[in-house]
Amino acid sequence: MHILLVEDNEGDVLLTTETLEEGKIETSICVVKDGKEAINFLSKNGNYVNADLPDLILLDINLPKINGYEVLQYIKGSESLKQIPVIMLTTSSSEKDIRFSYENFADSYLIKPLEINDFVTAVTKLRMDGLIL
Amino acid sequence: MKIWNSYIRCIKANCANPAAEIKDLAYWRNNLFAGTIIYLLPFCLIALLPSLYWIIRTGQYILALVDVVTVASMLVVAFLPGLDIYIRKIIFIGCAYIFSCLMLYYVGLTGPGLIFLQTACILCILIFPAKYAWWPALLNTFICCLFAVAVSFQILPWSNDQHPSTGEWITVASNLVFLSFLLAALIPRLFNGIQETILNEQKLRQQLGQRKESLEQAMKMLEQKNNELEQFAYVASHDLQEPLRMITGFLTLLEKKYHHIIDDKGSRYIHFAVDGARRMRQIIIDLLEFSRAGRLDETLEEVDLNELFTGIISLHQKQIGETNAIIKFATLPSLQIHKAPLRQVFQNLLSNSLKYHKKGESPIINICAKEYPTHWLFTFEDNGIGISPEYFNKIFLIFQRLHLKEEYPGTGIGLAICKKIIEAQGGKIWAESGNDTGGTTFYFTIVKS
Repeated sequence: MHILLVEDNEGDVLLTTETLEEGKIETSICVVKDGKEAINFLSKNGNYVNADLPDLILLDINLPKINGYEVLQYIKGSESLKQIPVIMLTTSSSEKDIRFSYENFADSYLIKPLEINDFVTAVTKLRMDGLIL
Repeated sequence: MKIWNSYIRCIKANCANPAAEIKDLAYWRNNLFAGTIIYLLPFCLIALLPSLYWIIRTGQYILALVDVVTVASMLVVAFLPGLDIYIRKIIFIGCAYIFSCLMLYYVGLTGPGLIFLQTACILCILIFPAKYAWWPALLNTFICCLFAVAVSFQILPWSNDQHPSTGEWITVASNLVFLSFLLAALIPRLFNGIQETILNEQKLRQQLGQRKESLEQAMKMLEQKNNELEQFAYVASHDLQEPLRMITGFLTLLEKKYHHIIDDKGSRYIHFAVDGARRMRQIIIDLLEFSRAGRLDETLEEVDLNELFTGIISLHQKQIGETNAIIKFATLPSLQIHKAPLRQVFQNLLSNSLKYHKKGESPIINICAKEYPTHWLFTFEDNGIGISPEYFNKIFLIFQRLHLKEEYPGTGIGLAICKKIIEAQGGKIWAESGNDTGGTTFYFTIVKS
């Protein structure tokens, strides 16, 4: 499974990639550090001309320049991108954040640090819904 | 009607100050003056022609001249723009006095002269400020003396049948003088009393306005401080979580990936470090919850508490199953309340009762509600380990616990949150021990909206 991880914190990137590795899910991970880079990647701009579209996007909410919500809105507003499932990753479990994510059509919501079990549960559900192949 | 209204408006513009902001005594005096002119002027004009006709027939040309001048002065008082009200009043009173004296001279003691003199005096007291009240009385006295002199020395050419004797004059005049002074003493008193009341009311109103303003300011500042505090709490806990996550995450990874080269002691060190970080994270989360608790930004809604409680029970199904807990609640009412905060209170109390049960015994929890005129009293009773009375106040303090975390987990914030929420809605919460099972009973009130 090809995953795009949008995360600015180096430590979080390492934790997430290690967790995914340990979970023994076959994954190839691309990392971008902020919202603007994520949009460039998905629109195949600049350095990302040859990039493949991911099967799943893990999106942090608190990002510099353009925040996670705006990236989410961009993705779900684009005809070619909206079918890619997006899992929001965040520190906050506040009702407001969760509601806002779902109102903007996020497919799932996980709280950092990423736990492998939660991740597997989320991906399994997305597979069952036919959103991931 | 329109002409009459414009006429009134015109005179009020000239003789009163209709646009005055503060309706004090001066305003009402001027209003009285304007009112007098409004009704007197038409009367004067109507009476002018017949009186002129009669006067000229009797050959009293001076009287005719005075009559015309008086009416002309009244017209000036009423309609000439740009004249100060004070001047208008003086002209009016002047005319009134001259007219009265002439009445007295030409028509004599049995005529309306004395009545007009007294009326002029009264009008003068009414339309001028109180400090001038004695002037018309003194003026009346002076005029009476003048007439007394004229009568006794027979200076003025009275017509024969009108000529009073000195004695008659003094009898009548002294009454006039006495009444003038009486009125000059009494009328201002009334007005002074009214003036004082008006001033007092104005002062109170001003004070009220000031108090209201300072209250509004204080409330604004309070709201601002509250918002700042919330922001601070939110940002602090948000930003504190990230470093903690790093600590917990990497220590855990360290153990997982390098346990084969870390000895037991090393593992223990890592374990305590991770545990510390996890507890700190929980404290931050609890602190954030506490700072948010009690905020009543949602509107009141009608909530069936039976339904609410059934929902909470289903959330705790796992714990209830593990401890074989029995939860009984008598029919709870439907109330107009803030749903989410109250749900939190019930949840925290239930969670505590399930947690602090006696070892080997299943928790039995009893909830009921009683209605009072002003509020509802809720009782939350369990058969748990109980609380010693000396700690009844302490348990509601933030992060205060009575047990080790190894015995019973938790950060000690549940009851502090309950207290904050209940008190924010105007209620009270307290604990009592000594029910027959040795457990604790929590009471809290919800004020009727």
